[in-house]
Amino acid sequence: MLDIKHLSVKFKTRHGMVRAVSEVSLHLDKGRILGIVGESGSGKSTVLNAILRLLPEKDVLLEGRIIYEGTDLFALSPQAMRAVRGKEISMIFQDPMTTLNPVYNIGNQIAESLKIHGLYRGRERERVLELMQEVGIPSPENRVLEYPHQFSGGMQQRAIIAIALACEPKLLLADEPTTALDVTIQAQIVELLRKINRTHHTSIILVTHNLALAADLCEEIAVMYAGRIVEKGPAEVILQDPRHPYTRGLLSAVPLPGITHGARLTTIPGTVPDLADLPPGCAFHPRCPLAGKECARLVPEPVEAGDRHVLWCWRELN
Amino acid sequence: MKTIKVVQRLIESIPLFILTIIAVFFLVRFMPGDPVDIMMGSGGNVTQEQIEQMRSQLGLDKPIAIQFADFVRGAAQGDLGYSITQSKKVTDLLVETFPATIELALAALLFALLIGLPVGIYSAVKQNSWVDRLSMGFSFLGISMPAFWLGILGILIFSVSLHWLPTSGRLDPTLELRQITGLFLLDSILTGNWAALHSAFTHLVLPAVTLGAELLAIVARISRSSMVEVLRHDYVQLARSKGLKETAVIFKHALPNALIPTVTVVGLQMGVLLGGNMIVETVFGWPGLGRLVVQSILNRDYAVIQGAVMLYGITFILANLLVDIVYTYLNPKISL
Repeated sequence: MLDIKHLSVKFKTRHGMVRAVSEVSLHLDKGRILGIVGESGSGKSTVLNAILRLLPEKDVLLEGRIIYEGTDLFALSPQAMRAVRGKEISMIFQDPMTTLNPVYNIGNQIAESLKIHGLYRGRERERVLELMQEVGIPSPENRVLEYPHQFSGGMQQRAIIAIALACEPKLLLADEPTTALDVTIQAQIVELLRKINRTHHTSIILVTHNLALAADLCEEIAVMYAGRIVEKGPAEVILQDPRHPYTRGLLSAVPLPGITHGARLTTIPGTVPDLADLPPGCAFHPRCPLAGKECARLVPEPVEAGDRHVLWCWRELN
Repeated sequence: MKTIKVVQRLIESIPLFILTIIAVFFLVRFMPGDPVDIMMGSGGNVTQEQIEQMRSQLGLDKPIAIQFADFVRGAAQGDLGYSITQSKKVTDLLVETFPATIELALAALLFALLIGLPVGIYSAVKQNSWVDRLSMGFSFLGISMPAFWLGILGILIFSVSLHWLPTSGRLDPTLELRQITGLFLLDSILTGNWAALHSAFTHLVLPAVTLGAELLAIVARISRSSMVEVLRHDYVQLARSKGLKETAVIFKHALPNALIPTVTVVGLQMGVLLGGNMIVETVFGWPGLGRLVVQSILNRDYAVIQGAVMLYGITFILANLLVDIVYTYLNPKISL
């Protein structure tokens, strides 16, 4: 249902063009959950914003194509693009505390999506209560007129999910949906996303820096580093048999139930490079334990490592 | 619920009001200069007896505590005493001049908001564009220019050189206007007196622009900076992700949030509108409360100063209350 082909995103800055995303290609089937994993600054949120064309157009150069159900989203008029936003594809944001508008009550904010797209005319209120019920906000009748500051963080995130679900979108883009929440609430939100995926067959792209979360929820995982995908494949393959040194480093840095087997946690030496000043060749080579001469010269070509399992690494090639 | 809170707030402001009265009563009496001396002039053909007689007639020979008690007793009955220079009741003087001041202040406020808000919003949306830079440059000028200088400059250009606008007053003296509210623009519309409307408007333009210039600059800058800040928020992005048009995103989602700090600042500037009018009314010969106060201070006309300051106090308290009420409608987190 969604095909991202050679997506590149460049930001115009004072220091010239900065490539935030390079040559990203991803494919998502209906009803599936895809995880994009990476550190902050790896370009994973930029990919989500590029799908909905929410990046400020005058400061951004988009290359490549994003095909949603046969239509090229980049070729749509602004008006046609607005008809996609919220109705076909909707988005969940990272920080619930700042994502709801403080001056409108919750009911209003959920109903707004319905009004924009002209759905559930005359039955908006019932639909809002139904949505609040579905995302697990208790006693919706009492809370529908409350304002965001009267909601806890977890309830705010549920309200944001209700907004995203209002028009029954086919694709949900979740940008770090649990990062700002307490651990117990995180688990509830993950369960809620899983339930939505099962009951409505909504496809989900989950962007997270949390490998354990991606392992828990996603069927496929793409690992991003410095704006490029370094490895992608079925979740169990990525977790059990990672091939890229960066993915391996990430995995051994996170305790994962059933995978880490009591091994010592390690760290990846060095820091994420500045996107304005990327190292030549493979961007990971300065931190890579296996790096050789060719890694510093050329960007790696994709290597098929197995069924639907691809990685970009010179070491794997030789 | 809200009415009870409003009444509560009014009651709470009574002590402040009383303090204002006490302060002004004693301050005017500690001012150097004696009202009787000023009244009698410096001719020298006045006897000591006449001076004493005048003092006792005005009650100025009594101990200051008794004078204060007399003043409070009178004020409680709506009697603020007589003006010693204009031989009129203070209350009559206040009723005559207050509408002029209110008209000027409202016009200045309207001018500041109607221009300042759109300029601020547009500058924020088109951040760092040439429009943004130009308007912020002008607003810097607006904040820096003193009102008396701006007023005189306006008179020199638009009245003396171009003859577009009158130099002073509220209405062409040859025109008659039946007064209903005391606000000349409103009265001339209510009575259908179009000649007076035109005249009142041309008289109002320069003083209102002069008085409102600083507030305009402040409104433009505050609304711009709060709008810039609000536009960075995730809820603006959420509004876009719902499929809203950019204009709806700006006016429905960003603006109401940006108005909250703007209203706070405008509320704080109410004092400038009221206090600043003393200068502007004097420069433009505007027959309002401000000019009356300046004249009364120069003449040591105690009763008029006291009455006028009381009226300023009441107006200021009410204006602040109004701002607070507006605030509760803008910000659901705040109740009175």
